[in-house]
Amino acid sequence: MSDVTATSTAADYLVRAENVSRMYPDGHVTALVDVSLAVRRGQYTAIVGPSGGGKSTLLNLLGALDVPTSGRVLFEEQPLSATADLDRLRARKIGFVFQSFHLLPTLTALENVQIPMFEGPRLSASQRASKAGQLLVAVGLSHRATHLPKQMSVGERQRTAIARALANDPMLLLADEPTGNLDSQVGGEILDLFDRLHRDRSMTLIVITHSAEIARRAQQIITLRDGRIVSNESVADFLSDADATTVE
Amino acid sequence: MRFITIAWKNLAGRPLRSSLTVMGLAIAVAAAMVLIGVSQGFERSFLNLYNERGDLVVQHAGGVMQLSSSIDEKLGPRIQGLPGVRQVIGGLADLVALEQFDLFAVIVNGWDPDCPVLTDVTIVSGRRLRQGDRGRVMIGKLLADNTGRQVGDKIEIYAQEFEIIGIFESSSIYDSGAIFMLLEELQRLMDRPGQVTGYLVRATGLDDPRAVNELKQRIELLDPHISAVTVPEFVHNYAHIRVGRASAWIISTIAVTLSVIGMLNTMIMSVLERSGEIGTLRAIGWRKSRVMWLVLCESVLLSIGAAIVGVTLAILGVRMLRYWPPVTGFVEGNIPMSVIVSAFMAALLIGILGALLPAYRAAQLRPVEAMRHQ
Repeated sequence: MSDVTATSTAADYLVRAENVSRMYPDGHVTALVDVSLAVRRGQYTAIVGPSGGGKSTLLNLLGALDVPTSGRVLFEEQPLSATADLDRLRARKIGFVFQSFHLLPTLTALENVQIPMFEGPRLSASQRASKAGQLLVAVGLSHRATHLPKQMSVGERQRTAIARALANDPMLLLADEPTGNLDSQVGGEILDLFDRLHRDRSMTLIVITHSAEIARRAQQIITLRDGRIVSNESVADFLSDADATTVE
Repeated sequence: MRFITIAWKNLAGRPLRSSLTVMGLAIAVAAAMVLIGVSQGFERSFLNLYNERGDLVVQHAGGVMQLSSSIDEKLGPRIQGLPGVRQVIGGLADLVALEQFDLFAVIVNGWDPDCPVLTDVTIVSGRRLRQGDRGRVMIGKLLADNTGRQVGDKIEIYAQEFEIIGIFESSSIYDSGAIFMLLEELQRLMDRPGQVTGYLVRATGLDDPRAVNELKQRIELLDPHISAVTVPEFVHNYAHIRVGRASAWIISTIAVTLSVIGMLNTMIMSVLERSGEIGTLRAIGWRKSRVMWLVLCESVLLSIGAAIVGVTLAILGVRMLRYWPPVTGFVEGNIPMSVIVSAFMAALLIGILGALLPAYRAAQLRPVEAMRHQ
């Protein structure tokens, strides 16, 4: 099922999973079974499939938030299992966007965006604030910089979370159902933002979604069901198979 | 934004919990400061008082309670006659209750009319005691303020009425809260004729430790039932001071221990409540050490707040305590700087100790599982 082709070299891939399985700690439920995939640098990948199919588990493994029971994940061709400092990897090379935003409620939008910068390249407090301000401008939220999450709409919160994910200029942006809590109009704005990031920054995106709209914008679509990859195809192939607003 | 801002805002975002924690710790800090401060103040004041009057204290040997010590007053002139002795002050002391004023431990001293103690105090009203002043007393200004008595008023001591003939001020809080009467009268009242509680001996040439020891030995050779000790030794081993010091430390230790448990509870609750947030911090790359540092910072900020509030409460408390009748004459109105510094250090230590386990637990949270809590 891997998308690894003979014409691609290892250096082309930013992240790969090789025969990855993940069993829950109780030892009875297997979330992922022998999953292999590869994501090229600058590629926009959507992971689709029914709830409970293992999408979030796969994203956690690709983002170095979890470790596989068997198999291995490679980031820039380095096995994560051999990477000494996964915290540093996550802080500097990976950005996360969560369905529930996970902003710190006591901090303003500007302050939330600065949180990852404490683990990024050394910046002074004023440099952090300045960079966070630029990121809020980039996501169209400069007017909300001093607002707390509870004072913002859900769309604004998600844009703040995206700005936070970009704080340390990551190579890879992982998003777990980023539009899951948003209405279609706001969700569309978030997707436009992802498109711009992909286009303008050549950012590698891996997005879990139930939205066919996101899937349409992606270049690679991986379908997971019952912990297994059941398809790994280009958007053209995917659209010929499914013509709906949501995918499973 | 600075790192400390995150810790501060976490605390400010939960004002009730933070303020309750600060108040709980502040009260413990204040209680410990008051107890230790009063104890040390008591000791220091006692030391100053005795240092002003002598270098050696002569008492009945083996006695634990200074007030029950009893020495023949004929020993005074013999001590005075020893080489190296400049001055000998003998007096009788007792504690009495002035129940009509709710004062239950007032010092009564009996002095000879020509005793330097009587001549050294400053008379603010009336006059000094003189030979033949039976049924008359002088009282310290603090006692006069607390009882509202003036010169010419009567005061009941040992179920007898005494006329106040003078009110005096002294650099010692003990004297300021005390009653002075003639030695002969107090001996009669206490049924200890010809006896004194002890002697304060002012010596010459005490810079040489050997000279001190020699003088002590010479004094003790006068009577096998007496002992001579230096003023610092006497004050340090004074039974009431030892008991007070021990009590202060025991109660303070209990208060500090409870504070550590309180801080531990607060920070554990805080960590549990914010598992999701901590999971997010870990997910976006915060190291375990930084998460630990955040929890410790919050705890230390709480501790600093508690120390500031606690020190303020303690200073105000001790000042008020000075005028509380039951302890009049025993409590100084200030807390030594060393106790204030120690209180700050103790509060910081409480903050760090109370946060170590919660900080460790926070750092051990696995991002994926922790974020499910949010």
